[in-house]
Amino acid sequence: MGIACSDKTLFMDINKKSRRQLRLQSWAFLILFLAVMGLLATISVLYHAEFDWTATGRHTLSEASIKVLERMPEPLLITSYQSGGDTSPERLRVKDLIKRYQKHKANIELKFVDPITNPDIVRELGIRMNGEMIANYTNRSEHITSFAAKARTPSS
Amino acid sequence: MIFHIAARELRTLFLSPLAWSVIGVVQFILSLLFLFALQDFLMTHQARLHMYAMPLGVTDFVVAPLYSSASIILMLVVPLITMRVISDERRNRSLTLLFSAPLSMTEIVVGKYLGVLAFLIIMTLIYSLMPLSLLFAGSIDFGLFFSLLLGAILMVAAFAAIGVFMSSLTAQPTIAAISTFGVLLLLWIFNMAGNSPGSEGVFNLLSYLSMLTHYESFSRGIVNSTDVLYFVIVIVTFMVLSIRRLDGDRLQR
Repeated sequence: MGIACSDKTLFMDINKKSRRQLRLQSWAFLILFLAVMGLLATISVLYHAEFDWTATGRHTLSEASIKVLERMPEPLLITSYQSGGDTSPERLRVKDLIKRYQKHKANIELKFVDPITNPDIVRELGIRMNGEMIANYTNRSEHITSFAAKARTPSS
Repeated sequence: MIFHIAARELRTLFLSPLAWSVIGVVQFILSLLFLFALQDFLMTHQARLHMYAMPLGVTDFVVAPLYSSASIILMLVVPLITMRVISDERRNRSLTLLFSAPLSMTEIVVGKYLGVLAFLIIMTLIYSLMPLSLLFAGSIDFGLFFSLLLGAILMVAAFAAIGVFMSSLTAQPTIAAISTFGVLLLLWIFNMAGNSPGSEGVFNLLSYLSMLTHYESFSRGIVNSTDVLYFVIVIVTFMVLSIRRLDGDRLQR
């Protein structure tokens, strides 16, 4: 668009008025163009496909884990006792891990509680380390202490 | 026609001592880092991995860090390669000559960009021989390796697009280099805002803009369409902006 226009304008004499028009046109183009790129970026975030290229399929759940998830129709609540802000790297890592499970079971809810600012809850539930998780399914609950061990199980 | 310009640009790069010394220095530093990482792996990690039966290997401990260091070194080096691409033409007053040639602005800019990109890809392939040399001693995770390679190439392509744009803005190569470096560093550290308290929306935007976020998944062996498209969007945006910039010059003279 820009190139075709400018080639045509080479033949007209450039005075003050046409220059103002050209400037206006180029600003309009810039804004529209950036808006389109922003829109593309938004779409690419909303609809995306992910491929795990590792040889062991480390970032994909194993068949066995998926089968277990399928046998759990009720909602599952996972509370992570991980300190840090909502966007701290530690919490993002937890979110990332749980997202892998959420892909196969939509009704998994993840909640964060900061163990440093809530010492009463920590004592009551017997939480021993930062980053511990408690999974609640129907009326049962289980402590997940070793984050690394849980992270590894999918691939084995 | 685009490829004529690209080939000429590539030839000019290799005629100057700059390109050769850049390849030499980058290769030297990266091979040292590779050596250190490999030694570290053999001395400590290997035994521990065996003990805990972890599904990780030499590719995770040696090859992935190599590409991470390479991306940081290239952030410093790419501005030096791209700085004179267009600003030199402006300084030598040969830009007017180029304008009067029967070429569209798109052909000129994209051609020059492809020339620089070819050089950077050659450099990437040269240091990628180091991980491949591990094949003499054992096996590597080829899926992860190709994911790293794809990430590295997309990243230098984005670096180069930003560099070419900065070079189209000014007649001084040094100014082009330092401003390219500034933009690259800014895009790199954007996601550090994540550690400070703030709303999640702002964080998500900043972390989307940050190159580090998008490179990170490649380094774990995950190829996500969002990340690939991010780099494509950056490249297209800066290409179009440089074309517009030169187009404006052609008119207002």
